[in-house]
Amino acid sequence: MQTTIRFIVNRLLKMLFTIWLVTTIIFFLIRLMPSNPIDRYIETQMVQYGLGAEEAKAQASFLFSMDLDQSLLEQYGAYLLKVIQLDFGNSLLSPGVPVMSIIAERLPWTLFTVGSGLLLSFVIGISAGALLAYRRDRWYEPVVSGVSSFLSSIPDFLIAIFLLILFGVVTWGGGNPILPIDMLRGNYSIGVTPGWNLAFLTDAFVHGLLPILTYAISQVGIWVLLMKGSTISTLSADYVTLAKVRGIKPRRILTAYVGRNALLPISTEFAMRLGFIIGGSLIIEQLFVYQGIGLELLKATSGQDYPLMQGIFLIMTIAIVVSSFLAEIFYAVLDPRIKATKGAIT
Amino acid sequence: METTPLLEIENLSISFKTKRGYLKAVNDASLVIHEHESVALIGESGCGKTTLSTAIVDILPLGARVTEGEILYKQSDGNTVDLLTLKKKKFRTLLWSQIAMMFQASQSSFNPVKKVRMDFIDAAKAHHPRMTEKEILKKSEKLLTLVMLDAERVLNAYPHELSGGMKQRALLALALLLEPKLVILDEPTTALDLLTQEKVVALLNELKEEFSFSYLFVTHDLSIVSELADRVVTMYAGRIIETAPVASFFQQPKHPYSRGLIDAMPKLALEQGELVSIPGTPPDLIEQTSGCPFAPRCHRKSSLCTEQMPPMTTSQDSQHEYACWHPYLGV
Amino acid sequence: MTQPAVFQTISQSSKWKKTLVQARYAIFHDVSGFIGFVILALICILSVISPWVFPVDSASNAAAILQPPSTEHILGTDHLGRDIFAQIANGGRDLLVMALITATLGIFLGVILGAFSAIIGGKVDSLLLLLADVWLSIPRLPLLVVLSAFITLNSVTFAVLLAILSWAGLYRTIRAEVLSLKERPFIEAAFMQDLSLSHIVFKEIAPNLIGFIAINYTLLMKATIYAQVGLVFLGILPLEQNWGVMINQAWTQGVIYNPDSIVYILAPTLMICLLIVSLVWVGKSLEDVFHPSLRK
Repeated sequence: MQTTIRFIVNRLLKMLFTIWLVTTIIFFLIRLMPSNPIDRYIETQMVQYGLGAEEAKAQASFLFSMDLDQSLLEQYGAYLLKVIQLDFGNSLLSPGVPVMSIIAERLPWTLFTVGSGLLLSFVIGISAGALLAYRRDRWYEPVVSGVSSFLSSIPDFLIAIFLLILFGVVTWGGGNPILPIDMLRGNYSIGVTPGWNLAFLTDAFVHGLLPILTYAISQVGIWVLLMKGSTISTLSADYVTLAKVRGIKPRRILTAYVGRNALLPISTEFAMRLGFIIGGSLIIEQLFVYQGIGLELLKATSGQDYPLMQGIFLIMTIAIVVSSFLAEIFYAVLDPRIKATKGAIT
Repeated sequence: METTPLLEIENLSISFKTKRGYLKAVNDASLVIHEHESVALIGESGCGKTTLSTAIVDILPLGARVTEGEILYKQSDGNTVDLLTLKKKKFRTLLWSQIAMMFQASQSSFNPVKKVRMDFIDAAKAHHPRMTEKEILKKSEKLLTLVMLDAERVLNAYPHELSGGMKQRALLALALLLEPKLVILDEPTTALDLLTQEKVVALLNELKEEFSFSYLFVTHDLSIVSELADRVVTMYAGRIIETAPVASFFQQPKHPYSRGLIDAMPKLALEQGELVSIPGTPPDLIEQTSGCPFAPRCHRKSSLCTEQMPPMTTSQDSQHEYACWHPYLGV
Repeated sequence: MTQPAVFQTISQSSKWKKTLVQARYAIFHDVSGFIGFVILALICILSVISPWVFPVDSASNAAAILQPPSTEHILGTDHLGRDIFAQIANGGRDLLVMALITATLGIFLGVILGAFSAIIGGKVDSLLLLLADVWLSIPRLPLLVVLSAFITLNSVTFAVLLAILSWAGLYRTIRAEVLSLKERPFIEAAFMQDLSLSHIVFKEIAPNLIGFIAINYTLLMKATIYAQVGLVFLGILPLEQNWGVMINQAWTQGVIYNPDSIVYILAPTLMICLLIVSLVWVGKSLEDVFHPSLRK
């Protein structure tokens, strides 16, 4: 019990440290870099609009919600305090709108598509990988493994382009492509009221279909290969063979002996993949014009909306760090060995 | 010893599919284990002894296949069945309840993510679905105490919390859980230090007295053979080349290879004899010759040996069976 | 009769001969590895010769916009009437050069930090390891996007930046490799013989890292190409002459939705796929050579 607590505390500290580090990097970029956005803003205000130094500074203070009259250390402290309260100030592009409310509006869509895609690929990949490990001597094993290895190396946005062309551009001899791609921009069609009604849910699903498919296809190969390797090494473990010799039913062996032990090393990979996909979502959402957090980050960057930019980046990092924390806790709960060996170090 | 055969292996051949072709790991092997008998299967690594023992419980590795022969087993109800052609479901009911096995090293024989008690419960439930957990644990505790373990502690521990010797003994208790008729032990002592080895060997002997089952144990350690076995079976290059009661095996081995093995064994205090190893290495099992596989390393070989495989012959006192054209006969 | 020595250490055998044998094995021992090497070689050759053989004509030609493949333009023309094949032929060079720069810098950084950390050990080691762990959980692509708002990126600063940002992953793998090497008997023996640290690092450890470095080199090149093409597509890196730019152009011009000019978008996409897949296969093939235990 004590090792469990120490393990959890250890991982919790690491998670907080990561978030703190990212926050500090952002503060450094905004406030301390030569020609940082605040200094630049003050300069433009003074040069272009002829404002006095004090006036320009006051405007910048308001805009970036930082008290520029304070010392840097005090500013840093105030900044951290705000970040803890998830207060990133107001967006510059849409003045008066808090960054957090924009994030709250966009994030669920990205979570929906990324989450469904990841889950879909995980379920398919894990089952296929386990099956391949059992059927190593069949003719289709090298075929499926080859395709998986191919899929896992192609960049996700190229898969998105292929899907876009296959479903939305090529007419396949008929008059129209399979999906009316220009109708599918955005998260749902105009005229559909968001809520828990069937019309909205189907509409949202159809709009998210191609992004979800992209995430699923780009990840499925990895899961197949990982699970195949993991299952093969588990199948040859003594405890599985001994379970067979004990006359235990194959299904029980699959769930209690093979499945659990083979899944363990993969569960930590889940969080790492999530980080990767969230990064990739920038490009995917741009391609499909899907109004998620990734597209919002791109808009914020090109519009130099610094508060929004840092808010989104921090939320992305937090999402990844928290999920990898959960994955590790999950792993530790499932595997009694891990707490003993990994609790102490790092 | 007038006993009935429990397990009869007849003309068993097992092949591995490899890149270079078929590798005959076990070649026309026949072997009998009687009731209450302890049989040792010895030979160098790679001679096929482990393959042979895993074939009995149908856990041959991927790519290995029994090409011919049968494994006849006399069930507790008196009927004899061929394990190789038995339906999988029926076969599963025999496993562990009548034939149990312990692996080489056995350090990872318990499910690493579950407490040891689950391995006991799973084994019992597979054969007696109506047995309650309480009954199973009670029986397990009794057996664990018998193998000199703190039953309470072991059952509630994860495998990684137990030492090697403890796991070995816990596995023995697990093997005896359903009172099997035959226990197969693959290198039961290799991973243990000498003192623990000694304890396990003593324990195995005691348990055999108490439960009266048969052992088949596979080893290359002749010192435990002398302490545990009633009969010794020697394998070389996939073939069984000699079978003999333990005493006369050590005193008068007939086959030059058996003799070589005994001479290579370090003797304590007995005589200042030189430790002699057998020259050469075991043959390639893929390109087999028609002659005796041991001929290239044998100092008694003649031209006959390289041409023809010697048949199994019974010695005059009918104690030994050997496959050799030029055995050590007499003194 | 003289018996040849049973054991031959790496330094005893001829290094060149060994490298040649390994290279031959890497290229020919399996189909996917062979195909990978061939594709990579073809792309390299194409990149080198195309400025002379297939020069890009950057002048637009309003009379020949978005033409389908023909004998004159075997892959058709783009939205400005320029030949697509010439762009394809020349589009890999920058990607390859940048990937090489990033991979070289990144490997250099990773090896120095990793070896240093593993050999020194102690508090420095655990601190670096913690930092690497933390660093790895920061999403790379969004970070690059955010940084682009603060730093003006061109291909070279980008390559350097990416190499610096990639330190953590490489550091971790190389540290682990050096740690396991340290445990190996021949290194332990070297330590016990009191050989100098520089001798141990350069003569004993470094030669055993070469295979490992080769594998990671291809992986890092792959990651660089992914990031580079991605950022070019997003319009964050300046538009030069590469396949990512072609995709970006096709997309921003809306050509991607035109069923008649699929070749325009498909050609650069396929080329990037080929380049990345060939790198992955080459990496895998190298892995077979240097870590034969991982085979199967």
